[in-house]
Amino acid sequence: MGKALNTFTNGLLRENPTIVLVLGMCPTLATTTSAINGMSMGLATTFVLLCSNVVISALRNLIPDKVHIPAYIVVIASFVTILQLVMQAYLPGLYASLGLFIPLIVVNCIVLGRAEAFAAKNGVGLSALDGLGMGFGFTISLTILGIVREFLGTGKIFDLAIMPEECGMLVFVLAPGAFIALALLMALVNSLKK
Amino acid sequence: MALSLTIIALVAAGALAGIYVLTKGPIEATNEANKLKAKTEVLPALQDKDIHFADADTVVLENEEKIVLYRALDADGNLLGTAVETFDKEGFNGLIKLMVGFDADGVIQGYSVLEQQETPGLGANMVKWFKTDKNNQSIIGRKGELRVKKDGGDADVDAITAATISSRAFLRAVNRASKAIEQNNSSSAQDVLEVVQTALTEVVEDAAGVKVEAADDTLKVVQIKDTVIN
Repeated sequence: MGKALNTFTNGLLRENPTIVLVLGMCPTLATTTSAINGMSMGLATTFVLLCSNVVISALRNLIPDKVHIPAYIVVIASFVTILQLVMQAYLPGLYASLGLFIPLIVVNCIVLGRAEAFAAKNGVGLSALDGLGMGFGFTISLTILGIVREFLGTGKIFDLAIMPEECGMLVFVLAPGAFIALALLMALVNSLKK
Repeated sequence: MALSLTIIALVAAGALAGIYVLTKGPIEATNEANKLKAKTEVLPALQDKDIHFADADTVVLENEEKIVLYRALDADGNLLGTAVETFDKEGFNGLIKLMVGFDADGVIQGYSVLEQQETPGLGANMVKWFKTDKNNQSIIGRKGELRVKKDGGDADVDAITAATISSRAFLRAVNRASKAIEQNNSSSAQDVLEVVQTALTEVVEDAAGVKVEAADDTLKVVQIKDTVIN
């Protein structure tokens, strides 16, 4: 029980993929222009992480060592494509705003990283927990980053106006603002951890 | 080793095929629904009226670009407005796709952005900017070629603040739509001319009145085409 809880909370803070492991920077910087985009990207990645971790963990004794990377990529890519099709069919609005970044989840190093580092060595249950924990950790940091950038950039949070739009510093919605906000967030978490 | 990889790939392919078949219907349905929504949305004056959209019609512009337009017709087949699907490839981040609504006189009634990757907070504001009635920024009720004020001359549309490139691309797309409408109307004017000519010859040929009935029918056609132009 202790181990399961530990595995789950591992991804939330101690080994948070964005802030501590600094993995998957492309979607982190690109999709967090608004809180809702960041959160949806996080949840999409969580889904893929959970499914791929479970399947890879279940197959870990059947996949020969020499072909494990191609096998993992096939599994991950299949889940991403499934996600893409399902999103396009049932959540077209979200698909329209995230469309470009969904296929890129395949090459998100968090997914392959967790498959290699965790799912290939642990049982199905633990791997599922690890996928969920890492996914939620990723989602939380992307959402926070999205909130900060959306608020500073346009004065809104989750599309709700908090202050007039004219007061926004547009740079935070653009690429440089992504780096600044991420750096500040990392600095804050590091100083809190000490 | 090769066998296990093959099996994994086969199972994955099978799963994907299954999901594809399952989601194909809903994806097509949402795409259709979105287009229909955009078509009605850009013609707000017709929203409560009993209209139907004719099948898509393609207009080829001078530079060989193809523009698709949908005519809104009432129950008698009179033209009430046209929704034009237009685009520009040189937005700040590439392709912009719009649906622009025109009334029967070619005056812009509304628009809807179908696809864009402009900067959020700047160019992406085009979704609302050009229909907000403030200063000179709205394009609703305008006609003919539009340009941003910055480009001088008689151009007078206010560009989105700090997003002139996106604004220019947007107006280029709208202008493409206007051109398509114009070209379409003049080609139907051409049609009418031909119809009138044949009708006249027929009338002259059969002055005795043998074919008067036929001429009557053609006249009706002329009237219908006429309303198409206006």
